[in-house]
Amino acid sequence: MASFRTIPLLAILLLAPGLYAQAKKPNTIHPPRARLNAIDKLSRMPPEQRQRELAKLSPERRAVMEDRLERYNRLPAAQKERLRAQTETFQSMPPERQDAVRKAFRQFNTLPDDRRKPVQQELRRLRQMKGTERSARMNSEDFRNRYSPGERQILENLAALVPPD
Amino acid sequence: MQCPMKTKENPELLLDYASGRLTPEEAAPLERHLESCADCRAFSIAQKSIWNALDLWEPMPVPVDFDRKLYAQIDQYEKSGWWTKLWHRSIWPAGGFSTAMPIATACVTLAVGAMLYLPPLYRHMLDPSSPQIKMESSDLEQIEMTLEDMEMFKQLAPASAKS
Repeated sequence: MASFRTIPLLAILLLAPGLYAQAKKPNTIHPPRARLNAIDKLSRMPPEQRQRELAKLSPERRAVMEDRLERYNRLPAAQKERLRAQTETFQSMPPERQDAVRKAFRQFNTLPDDRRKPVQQELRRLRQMKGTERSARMNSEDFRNRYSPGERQILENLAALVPPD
Repeated sequence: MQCPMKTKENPELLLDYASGRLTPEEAAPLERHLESCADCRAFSIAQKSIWNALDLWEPMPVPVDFDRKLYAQIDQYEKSGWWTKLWHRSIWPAGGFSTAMPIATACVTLAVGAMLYLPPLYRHMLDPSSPQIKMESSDLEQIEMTLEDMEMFKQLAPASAKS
């Protein structure tokens, strides 16, 4: 009988973490694969239903999302699959590392047009390099002369964190 | 005589005196002490009032047919089927609700736990072929972020990979 009486206590102990997590974090963070599947699900919805779902967003965000969704759906199957694999790998990284990459990418997009191309080319070169080779390049005189401190920071974050193709 | 309250050597003496268990020879020195000790006197009066109250209390009279009814119920239980006995022994023992309530709590715990740890939306999103479901704004935010990540990879991809 004494063991039966401990059941309510055990129930509280078992449910407490779940209830605490629900209260603290109302939005469920889905794993990368689930997010990718959700994109497919949204793409396959009948237009009326998709419109109803997207109506929950502001007009600006909705327009951007519709545009990206359409471009994603137009991609060839092989490219789409590669993109999905990259995204899944990236989203499996620790959240703070993901945020650092996203922040660097946003900074990259704010670069002047005449700087974006050389930075992008440098980034592609860096991503092809191995760790020691990349470090040597980033510490070189030529690298420091070509790029500003802000650009070097962007390159460092993106080259180190974005998984290779 | 030493004060039983202050020395704490023989505290039962006061209790025995209040309940009338001391002989007159044993009570005489204590009564003399009580005349001079206010603490012991107050304690003794309080104890005596409790004993007086208990003396006045009378238990409820037992009905004359109590035994007959009790034996009839025992007899009825003995003649009942095995399932009735099992029910009484496992679910409704002497404690009654004391067993049923924890079992009910365990069932509720399992149900609530399943709802908490296995959100239906999550299960549906893992399976893209499942029927259409309503999306929450947080799901849309995550889709938005994933599309943004894809955009990043597209832009950063080498020219050869874009074709």
